[in-house]
Amino acid sequence: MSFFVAQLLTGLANAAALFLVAAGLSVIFGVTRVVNFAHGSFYMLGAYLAYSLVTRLGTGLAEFWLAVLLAGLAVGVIGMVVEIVLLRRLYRAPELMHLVATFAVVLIVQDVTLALWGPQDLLGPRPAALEGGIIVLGERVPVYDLVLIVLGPLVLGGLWLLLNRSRWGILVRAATEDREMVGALGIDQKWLFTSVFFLGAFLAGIGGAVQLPREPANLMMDLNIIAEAFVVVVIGGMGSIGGAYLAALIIALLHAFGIVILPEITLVLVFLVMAVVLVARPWGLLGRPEAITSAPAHGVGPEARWQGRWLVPTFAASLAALALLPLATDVYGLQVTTEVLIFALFAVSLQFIIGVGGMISFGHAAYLGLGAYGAALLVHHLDAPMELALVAAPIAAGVGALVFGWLCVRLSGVYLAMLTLAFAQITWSAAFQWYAFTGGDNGILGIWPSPWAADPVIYYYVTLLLSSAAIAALWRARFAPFGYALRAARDSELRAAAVGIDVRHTRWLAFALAGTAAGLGGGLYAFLKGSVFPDVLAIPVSVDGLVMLLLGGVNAVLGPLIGAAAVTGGRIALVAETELWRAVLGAVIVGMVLWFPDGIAGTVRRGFGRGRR
Amino acid sequence: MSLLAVEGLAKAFGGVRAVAGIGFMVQPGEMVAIIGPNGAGKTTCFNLLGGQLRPDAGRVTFGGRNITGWAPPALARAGIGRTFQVAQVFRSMTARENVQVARAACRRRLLSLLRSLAGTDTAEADRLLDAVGLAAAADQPVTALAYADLKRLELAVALAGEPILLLMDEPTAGIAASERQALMALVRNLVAARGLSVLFTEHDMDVVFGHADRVIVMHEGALLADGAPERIRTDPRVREVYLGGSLDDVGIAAGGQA
Ligand SMILES: Nc1ncnc2c1ncn2[C@@H]1O[C@H](COP(=O)(O)OP(=O)(O)OP(=O)(O)O)[C@@H](O)[C@H]1O
Ligand SMILES: [Mg+2]
Repeated sequence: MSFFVAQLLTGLANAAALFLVAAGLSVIFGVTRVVNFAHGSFYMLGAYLAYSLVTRLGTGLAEFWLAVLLAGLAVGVIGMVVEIVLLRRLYRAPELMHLVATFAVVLIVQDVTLALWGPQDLLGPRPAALEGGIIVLGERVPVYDLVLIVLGPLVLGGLWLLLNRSRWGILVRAATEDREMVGALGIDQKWLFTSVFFLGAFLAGIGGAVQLPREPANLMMDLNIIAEAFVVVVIGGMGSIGGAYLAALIIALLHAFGIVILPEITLVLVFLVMAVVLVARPWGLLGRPEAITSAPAHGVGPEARWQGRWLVPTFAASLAALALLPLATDVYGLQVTTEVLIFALFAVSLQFIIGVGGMISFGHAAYLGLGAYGAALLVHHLDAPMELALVAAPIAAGVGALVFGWLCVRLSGVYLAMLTLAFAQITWSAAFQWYAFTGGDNGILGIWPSPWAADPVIYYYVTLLLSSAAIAALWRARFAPFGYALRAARDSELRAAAVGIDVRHTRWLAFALAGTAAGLGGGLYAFLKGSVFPDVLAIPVSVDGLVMLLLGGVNAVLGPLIGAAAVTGGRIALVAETELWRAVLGAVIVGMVLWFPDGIAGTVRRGFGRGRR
Repeated sequence: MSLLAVEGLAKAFGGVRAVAGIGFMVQPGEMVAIIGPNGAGKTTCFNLLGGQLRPDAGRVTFGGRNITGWAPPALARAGIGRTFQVAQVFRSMTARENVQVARAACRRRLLSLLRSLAGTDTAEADRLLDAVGLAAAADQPVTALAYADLKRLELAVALAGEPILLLMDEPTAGIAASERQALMALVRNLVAARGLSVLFTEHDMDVVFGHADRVIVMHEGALLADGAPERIRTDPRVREVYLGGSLDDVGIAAGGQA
């Protein structure tokens, strides 16, 4: 009984920060329709700023709360700056752009934080008055936990008052319910959006600041919390503050109780809860159903056809050039090219989901990773040969994609994006935590190709053969009736269903197909590197895939190949050149989103089009 | 036996009873118009029949089968095709590809991964495009087509599904008055040639009284009248509904077809 109470209270205390972040995310989305990926960064900044403030102001009770408040306000201002400089120009852009642009902010904030505060974890001093514990039902509970438990409902109540009793709040709610109305009322929409961003960022900043005495400020806080906040928002219902609180409680309690049974169980529990909620109420516990149709996730215009005279010859010529490459480059160059080939397959498979299918996946790394781990685990635990492992890799990823995809295809738009990210994060956590099986962050080493393929030149040819075969197969599927059905469902779900296309099944199958292809890439990747680490499943890899698509053009057939070469090559060069490669990458993404939203291919094509006319 | 039988069909949105227990029938080969002022519930009724919405109550029988609450793909396979009030087409494709996808869906070829769509059912797709007068636009991306042509294309796409019953929600909305009669004459000929039944809604009374075999009048979700065009034209309740609304210039009262 006392154990139960202790876990319950810990869970409730954990819920506070999560709720603050999720509530901010939800308020921002409600009004601006932007899913702010950088919300985790705001949270992390809150913690770091609070650390600096507390260490300067002192640990008196008043000073502590002042530090928390100041950290929140500072983060709020940072949020406003992000809104004014970046997002304000993107409100009319497709959702995909919002996600990628705000992820660029994540990258920039990571490097800025690293530069300002250094790589070590920073544990903030706890105010003296909040030290110690109280005995509750025979169990000692930290006073600070009790403070946090009270904070959640306080903020919930405060937000309710703000949204329901103030003029500003009424505008916000009006904007959330009916966006046309804001314009009609003659309200300065710009100001409303900026102030909403301030509030959302402020909440996240406070969330990070109050977490400081319990958890040291660290550089992984941003992505960890954002993945959980996405889960919370998907379960609670986007735009519902009450839903965010309820879901934060559920998730925090699952963690609190799951962790004492078996940490790995927590992940399964979270997944199951999401599954149950999404099947019963796809719009979340307290959210509202979306309208029948939703706008396409990205711009849809005329697209290439298989007969396109240039496609097959270009592909054939590239293959021929690649086949001759070993004559012209050294081992290092070959290894880099091998990696590019793998990521080309990864990007083409992601394009199948996002470009052809119109489903924004923010977690495609999960399938690359499942393939890599599938192969590596087989080699490590069962001593399987490379050939078998390379067969198992796509199967493992395909099965994973079938399981996750079954839920994903029930959602669309940003909900889908958040869900895919959450699944990728679950997979990452499993690889990261399950030491006995996956080696945790030590990874799995010694995954070498079979002797006949050990030579880098041979392995290069193996990769070239398998990747290009898989890419060609995906293209074939794209221009087959199946691919057209997928596109039809993307162009007009209403029309597609009315001609007899089972939209959900088609998308599910596409998800599985793309996952399988990415899994093959993962298997090849494991043998290229000789090892597998949880990084291969992490969010940045998923985002790399998105950047490849954006660079090459979301729908351009050859786009992913160009994008994969540019991103993989660029990254390798950047990492060698500068410590701040994340910030540089982030700046490149921001520039791209603002000035070249059609990608390299699209921009070139438009340039030609203008020239011809 | 009637092809389509609707009994007590109802759907409410919050407090609004958009369709409030309506019943009617459609016979094989018949062309039936549903008319009614804006907001009468016509589109909602079509969405209930086409599976885009689930009815709160009622029963729909099609070819002797109870199809109440079926999803759109199942209804399409059963032989119900439809067009939308705002034309819905596949915007990234050419006109021919639009029809080819619909053909592939009808022939259950969607799971085919290896053949290319470009080479399948080409002649058939072109015949359908020709039938709706779009033969010349087959290779055009649909984004280049005029709205009236999108409406025609949508018709071809719906026909590609080999429907027995075609639901057309305002087939001539957004089309110049001069082209409306031509489009409906086209539909009429198709009905005759293929032996299908058509249920359509329309605000243009010239079109309605020029082409419908029977007219159903809806008002505030309920059935107001159901009968031959001549009878509807002279029905005092119908006149009252229309005269009370904004559509008193539509020729019902005048009793004429322009
Ligand atoms: N998705 C919806 N949510 C709420 N109310 C709706 C919805 N769809 C329709 N309604 C309401 O139901 C009623 C009937 O609408 P419906 O679109 O069926 O009319 P209609 O006869 O097709 O009108 P029109 O001639 O203008 O196309 C209207 O009052 C409308 O506001
Ligand atoms: Mg209507």
